[in-house]
Amino acid sequence: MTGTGSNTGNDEREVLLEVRHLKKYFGVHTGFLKKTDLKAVDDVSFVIHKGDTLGIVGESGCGKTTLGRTILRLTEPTSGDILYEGSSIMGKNMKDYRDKMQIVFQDPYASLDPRKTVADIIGEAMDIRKSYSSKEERREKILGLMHLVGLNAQFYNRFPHEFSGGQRQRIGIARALAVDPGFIVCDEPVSALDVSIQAQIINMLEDLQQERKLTYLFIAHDLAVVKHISTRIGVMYLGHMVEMASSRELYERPLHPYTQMLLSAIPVANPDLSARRKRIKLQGEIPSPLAPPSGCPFRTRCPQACASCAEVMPELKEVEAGHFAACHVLQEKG
Amino acid sequence: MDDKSSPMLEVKNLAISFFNKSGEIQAVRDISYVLNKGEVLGIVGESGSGKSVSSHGILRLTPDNGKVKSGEIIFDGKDILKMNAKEVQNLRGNRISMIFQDPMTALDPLFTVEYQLNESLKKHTDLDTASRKKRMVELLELVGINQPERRLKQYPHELSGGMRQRVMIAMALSCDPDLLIADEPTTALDVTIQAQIIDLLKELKEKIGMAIIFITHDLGVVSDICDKIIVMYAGKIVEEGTSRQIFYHHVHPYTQGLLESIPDIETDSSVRLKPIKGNPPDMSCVKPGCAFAPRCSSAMQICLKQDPPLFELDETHAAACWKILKEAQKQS
Repeated sequence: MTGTGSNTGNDEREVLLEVRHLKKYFGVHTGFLKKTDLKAVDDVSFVIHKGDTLGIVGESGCGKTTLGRTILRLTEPTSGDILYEGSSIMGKNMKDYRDKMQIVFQDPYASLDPRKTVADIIGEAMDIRKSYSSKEERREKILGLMHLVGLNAQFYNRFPHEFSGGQRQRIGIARALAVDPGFIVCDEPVSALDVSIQAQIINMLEDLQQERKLTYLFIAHDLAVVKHISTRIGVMYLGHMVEMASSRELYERPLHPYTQMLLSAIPVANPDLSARRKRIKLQGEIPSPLAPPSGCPFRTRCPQACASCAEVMPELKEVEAGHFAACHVLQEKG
Repeated sequence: MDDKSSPMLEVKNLAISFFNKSGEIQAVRDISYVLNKGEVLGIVGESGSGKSVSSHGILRLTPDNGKVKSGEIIFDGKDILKMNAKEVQNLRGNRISMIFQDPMTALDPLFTVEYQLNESLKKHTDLDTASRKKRMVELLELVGINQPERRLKQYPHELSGGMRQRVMIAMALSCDPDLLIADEPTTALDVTIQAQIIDLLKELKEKIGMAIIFITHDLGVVSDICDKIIVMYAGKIVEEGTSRQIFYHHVHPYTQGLLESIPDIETDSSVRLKPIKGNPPDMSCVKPGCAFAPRCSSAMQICLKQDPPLFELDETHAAACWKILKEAQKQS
């Protein structure tokens, strides 16, 4: 990566979150007394501006969820630095940051405590911070949050199992909003939901962003959803960020061969369009992250791979203004 | 079978319910459809719409707490629901086979690919050991698995998700079925692998000419593989038609809502999504009237009182909505 935080284009706006050379390796036993590093996130850097949404896409196992969790230090990074509003959060007590940075989890069935009522789930963070002076105020605040995410006030004392997936995800969002954070990691918040409900939650997340000046890191494998909600998008492959550009730019002119392949694989609910679309012949599957290919991680599936791809890992470089890609072939051309 | 005029599969007034302590859950409520030889039928619906239950019923795979309340499933002139266990076993994996959603749980982790592929060949064919082995290698090649001899010796955990799904498809194809039921075959897979599997199914359909029932919640997936599409909601068929009719000339508000709530990569992302308001109904207490009425923006008085029948729009297109009747009355 050339100079930290350079992959923003020429943007003068306030930077909320900056990630520098973030690495997260997991030690995996691969034999007797033998340990191999699984490089879930390998040297990833980016910045997110205030009020923006950075979308992260990639196939399963590309490290997108680990990235989200590592930024919140829910898993400790192996190395690298995370700056929130200009100051590093590494080595600090995360309790001070939990009311600034929150997360909405993927699975609304596993992420809510089944023995707590809706009110207690949403109110837990407030209880810990004592951010209310009376029981009345607590109740009011919780009801306010429930109203905000479209939950009926009569659900106040209900338990999670009484709710559908979409409603549970609303509870999860209300819980994240309870401490009034500035930054929320949305880790596949809609992928467990039905399409008709998905759209409700996406619209709600957009409204909340407007109202509360929120900044999102939006992780998903559904490219259409990510495109819809994001200002900028990063594409991950085997722990590396391979392309990063504004949402429109990435979809209209994807540069990295992997992004092109991903985009051409999206199913379109339109038979005429899907017949017209150029399909890139897809081949192969993601290699095991325990034994990644040498050099560029994508070279085993890449139609344009050349000799130099096997040697060095390409760096994420600005190929065009505001458009970053990690590909030898592209960079040589440029 | 060769008689083109009679359909290969005919589902008539099928109703399946589940029973638990709190009562009856009507998963499938009176659905009928026909499938001709070599046709691909897509069944689309959200979770709980009855799309899987109705199709599992074809192979009599309804769970123990479920009961087929009424209906007939006529395959090749015989009612599957009236067959005895042995007759059904002769159908399963032989003339009708199935691919399940999750290839990890559908394959037995204790046995090699070879053992599992061998099972149905042994049961349904007269091939000897050597020719069975040859057939297995052929099958794996057909579904695009390289080094088939080596793969046969492997266990499911040694294969990736896409590879497992290919093995599942190879198993399903082993006896040249007339009908393949694919229950969300790509939902657990990544987009790039999903595209490969759909391409494979399309290719196989052309090569082998089998009929496919493709169950999915994703309208995008069925758009370029299906001849006919059925849209299900709350255990009923709300609209059926050819692929083009469903995508371009849909009349049911639910079909429209479903299509509109998918974010389109071609359109500008500043355009807001149009979700369907509300939540899917609770199937344990079915209210009178159209099940979609509480979420429907064009619901009328009659919608809350009486369930609409399927109105035929033309030979292939039908929808269950009172709006159609109203518009027809206006015109006449």
